[in-house]
Amino acid sequence: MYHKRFRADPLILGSTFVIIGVLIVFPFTLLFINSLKADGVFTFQNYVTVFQANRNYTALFNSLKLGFFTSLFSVLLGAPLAWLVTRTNLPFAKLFKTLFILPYMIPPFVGAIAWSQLLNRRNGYINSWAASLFGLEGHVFDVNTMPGLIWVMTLYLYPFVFITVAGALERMDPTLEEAARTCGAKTMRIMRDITLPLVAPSIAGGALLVFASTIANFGIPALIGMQGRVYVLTTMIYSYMRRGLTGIAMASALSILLMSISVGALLLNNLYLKKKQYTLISGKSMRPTKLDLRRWKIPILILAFLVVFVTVIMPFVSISLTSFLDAWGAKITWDNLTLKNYRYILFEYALTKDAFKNSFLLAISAATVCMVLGSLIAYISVKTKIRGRKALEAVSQLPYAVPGTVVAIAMILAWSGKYGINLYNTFWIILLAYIARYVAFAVRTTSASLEQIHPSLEEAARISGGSWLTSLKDIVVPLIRPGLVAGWFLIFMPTLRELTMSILLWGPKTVTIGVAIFEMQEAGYVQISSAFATILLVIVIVGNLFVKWLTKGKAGI
Amino acid sequence: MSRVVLKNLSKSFGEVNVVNDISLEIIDHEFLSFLGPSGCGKTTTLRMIAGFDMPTAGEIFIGDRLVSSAEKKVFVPPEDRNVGMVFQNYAVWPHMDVFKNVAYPLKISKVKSADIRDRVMRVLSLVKLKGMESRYPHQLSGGQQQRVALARALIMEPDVMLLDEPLSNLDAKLREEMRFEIKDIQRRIGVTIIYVTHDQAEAMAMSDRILLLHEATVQQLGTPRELYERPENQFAADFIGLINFLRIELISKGDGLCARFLDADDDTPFDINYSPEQLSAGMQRVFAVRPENVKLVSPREGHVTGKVRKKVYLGNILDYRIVLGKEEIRVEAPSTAKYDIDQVVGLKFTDYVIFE
Repeated sequence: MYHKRFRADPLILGSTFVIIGVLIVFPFTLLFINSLKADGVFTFQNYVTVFQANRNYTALFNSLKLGFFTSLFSVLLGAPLAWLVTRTNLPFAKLFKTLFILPYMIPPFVGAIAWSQLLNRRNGYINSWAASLFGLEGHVFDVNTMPGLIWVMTLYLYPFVFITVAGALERMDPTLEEAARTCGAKTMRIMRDITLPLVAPSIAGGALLVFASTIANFGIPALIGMQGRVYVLTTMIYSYMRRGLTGIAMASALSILLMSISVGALLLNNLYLKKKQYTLISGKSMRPTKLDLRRWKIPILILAFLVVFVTVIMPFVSISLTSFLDAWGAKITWDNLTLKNYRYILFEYALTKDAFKNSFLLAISAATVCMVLGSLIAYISVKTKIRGRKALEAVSQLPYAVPGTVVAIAMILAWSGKYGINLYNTFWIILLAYIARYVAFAVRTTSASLEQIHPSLEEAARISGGSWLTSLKDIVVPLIRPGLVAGWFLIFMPTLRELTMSILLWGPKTVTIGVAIFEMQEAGYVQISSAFATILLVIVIVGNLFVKWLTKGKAGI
Repeated sequence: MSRVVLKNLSKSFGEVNVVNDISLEIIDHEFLSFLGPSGCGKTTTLRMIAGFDMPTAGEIFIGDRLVSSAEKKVFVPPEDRNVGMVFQNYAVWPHMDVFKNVAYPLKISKVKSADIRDRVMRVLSLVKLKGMESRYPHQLSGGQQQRVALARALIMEPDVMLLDEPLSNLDAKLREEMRFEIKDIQRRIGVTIIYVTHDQAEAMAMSDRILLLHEATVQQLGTPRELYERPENQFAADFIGLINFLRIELISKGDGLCARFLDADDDTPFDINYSPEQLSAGMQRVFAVRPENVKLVSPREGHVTGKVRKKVYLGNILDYRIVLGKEEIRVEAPSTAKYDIDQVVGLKFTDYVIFE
């Protein structure tokens, strides 16, 4: 007899499409429509208005300028460092490799706080030190300028270039260089004729990533640029939104502009440069011949240490030192050191306690929901033949390609009551934004593990009498568990310290760690924000070490 | 002058000896193969000749020039050795077209561009790539990429060409074709070739001489025929072709010697053509015989008797398994042989070797 059994797969798989529709397609469509709507009619008016205002023009130009110079300097810093650690006999190369990636792990807004302490014109540590050393009046450096922005941005984003170039140099088939050597070419000639042209696409790819991340970054231009009245697109959108919902039309139009630039840069990378990078990979890894630095060894070692000192040690020392200060700006003496800032944020101040609670709750929920949703999407895309599966996967990647500011604006448009549901100023709108933005991570990590599972394993479970759900539970999930766990932490860590979206979505009861640090810094409570930032840094470092241990070095930095 | 001489060449990484005391003279115009299983040290030896690895001990001469000596602290870098090299994965530069790839060595040595064009065209026609000069590597098949690599090595008119498993990434048919072509090119231009491979058929088909390596040490150096017919040890016998190993005991018989199998039911002694100077009675040895050197005859005519356990028809031959007590022996008989399963047959050995 034929039993009609309840089948779970169409329901679960079908609802995945619906959820992604509601979570991503709906808000982004609204964003697009809204940018074309003024006073209830379709028009290009908003775009016209955007370009009529001089400051928007300046913000766009500043974004492009900042993006261009940050990419340029990131290449000048990241590519030679990558070459040094992979292709020369630089001592401690392995350690330096980790240290050069370290800035990538530091939340950019924390870096911004550090550098405004070090280089601000009134009482920056370096300015005071230089002034007392050379007996100067006034300041030497002013971080709240375009060059200051480029400086800080480069220090935190150059790892993108470093990672892609080091990866390319490591994967590059060493026989390509050896072949040139047997042809009679000397080291420098090989660098010029073979190595450099072969890694050029990776350098360009890293530069484009830096460019896209620079113009999407909010923390650094907000904490460093706004004080000096240097506005970029993200901070301009933020300042429109500070006027409340009235600024949303302009913010939407600027968001579309911002989105087009960064998505354009990423598409260029994915469609054009990625293909060129593939030709390098040889499959088998052999140790490449390492260049002997000879008498340059010690000077270059000192230089490498200097890079670590400036990018990692100086900012960390600055922030943690400030966090122990009683009075900011006074001389650093034993009398001026205290633990009260920590006592205050950990035990006394309600706002910071709320921030801890909210951020942990948000990060745990977002990571969990993302993993469930993301693995379903990955499953559909990798393991089924459902029509539209590739579109589903592509849509799930969109919010991560788009700047966080844009995602937040889209969320506000969709969930502030205009369409029946009002989540504005609540925990839920932040959660939705986090999920939308980070589900891409979950899809990527799980589809990588799913691709390793041969379809016959699942088919064998079905033949043995298991339903789809049973085979999922007994076969697929246990096999991809390491990927799931790693993916969970890869979402938990960045959401815990998220600032860009939270700053546009938070309400009186939904302060997050990022927002709390940002607001205290903006309000001038420098020691308190430093103490909070120090705690955050410790969490981030411990968390990363934990992830690294958990995944045996595959994830984390 | 393009002979290559290795004198007591050794290489170790830490405690591990990867090449152990190899001495060898490769004569002008010779095609010599380094043959052995993976990890035997053949590639490391080649890379030491090329100059990519530095020997821990010993010397290397290319022509009359000392290019590497651990003792005299001489080391000529690869770019100054004038050797051509073809890599297993071709190492054709993906950002240069065929012409630029092949012309590169001439560009380095500052040959005039008119001459470059001439010589590239000549060498491209030699490797049958004429008309493909403006193609990029990704537009070429594996075989064509290998020809580009070959042309690039040939164009420098090197003293010696080093080929590191150049055919192992190609499919079977192409591999066979390229074997003959490489051999043909060598014959025409008379370059000395050192060829690394783990494929015994490839080494047999192409080489003038083969250096057989195992666990970092030389097992045998000789012509393909010598290696096949007169292997010097069990490894050599086993690595090339099929062979049966049977334990024997030597017994004296008059002035000479005969042998009997230790693990066979039929332990009738049979004459062997080894002199008492080489072996003496009472010794236990290993008797090695190739399947095609065993004739199936009637029980009375053979050296020993056995029973047919299995026969497989392979078209040109019949592959028999004959039980001799505890051991089994593989015999290749003409496909006309008419022995059936369980039949008792005589085995006659036409050629064999005895090892310790």
